[in-house]
Amino acid sequence: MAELLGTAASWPSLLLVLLVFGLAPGFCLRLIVLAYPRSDPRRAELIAELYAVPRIERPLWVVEQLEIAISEGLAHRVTVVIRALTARRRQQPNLENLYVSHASNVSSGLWVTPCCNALVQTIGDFMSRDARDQRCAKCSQLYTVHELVWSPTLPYRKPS
Amino acid sequence: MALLEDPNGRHWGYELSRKSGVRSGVLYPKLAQMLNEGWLTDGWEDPATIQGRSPRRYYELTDMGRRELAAVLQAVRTDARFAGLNLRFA
Repeated sequence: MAELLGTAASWPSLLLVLLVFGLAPGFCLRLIVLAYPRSDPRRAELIAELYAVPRIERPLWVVEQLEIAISEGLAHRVTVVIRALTARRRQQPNLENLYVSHASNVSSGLWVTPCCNALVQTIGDFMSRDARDQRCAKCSQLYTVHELVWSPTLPYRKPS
Repeated sequence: MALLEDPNGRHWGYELSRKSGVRSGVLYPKLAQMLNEGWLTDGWEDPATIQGRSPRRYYELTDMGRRELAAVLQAVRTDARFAGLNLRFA
């Protein structure tokens, strides 16, 4: 019995108890809530709620939050990333019917119409010609050169 | 039922979890769902009224929430499958 008490009251045990019931829950919870988007009020809510939970229950309560953060927070983040990627792909100018005169022209970007993302001309062509109004190849809308959109990330595609 | 114990009061997540016996992993998504459906409103404690800790988020039942929860409770009370339940707040 005395041996058991001695073990329970030892320094390593005391440090372990301080860690598990003192420091670790708050620290772990702050890491866990990072799974939620920055604007999600659950981040601040859970951190504030932790201090309403009795110390003895905190480690298990924090583990419960890990479970829900993985299923809700991470799932939400993955959905947001997929949506952003899909939206970016949709915004890519339509590369069909492109006429690219030379690959070197494309390396510095392309001008496209804001209505249909249709290519107007390569920047090389644009710089070498007099600035003039451009007509969209798809819907025939007329634009001044200042209304065209600069699209620097288009990949070069050889004209078929 | 824990919400209907004090239909006009403020409720906190941990307090609700303790009173209802629902695990927090289940409770918080349910609260978020009730917020989206307009059964609850939320707010934050005024930092001027508390000391030494972060403001906590509270939930309050809306009129719609009170009506809907009362209807749920009424349905539970008349349903034979829930006859063994102790409906203290009904």
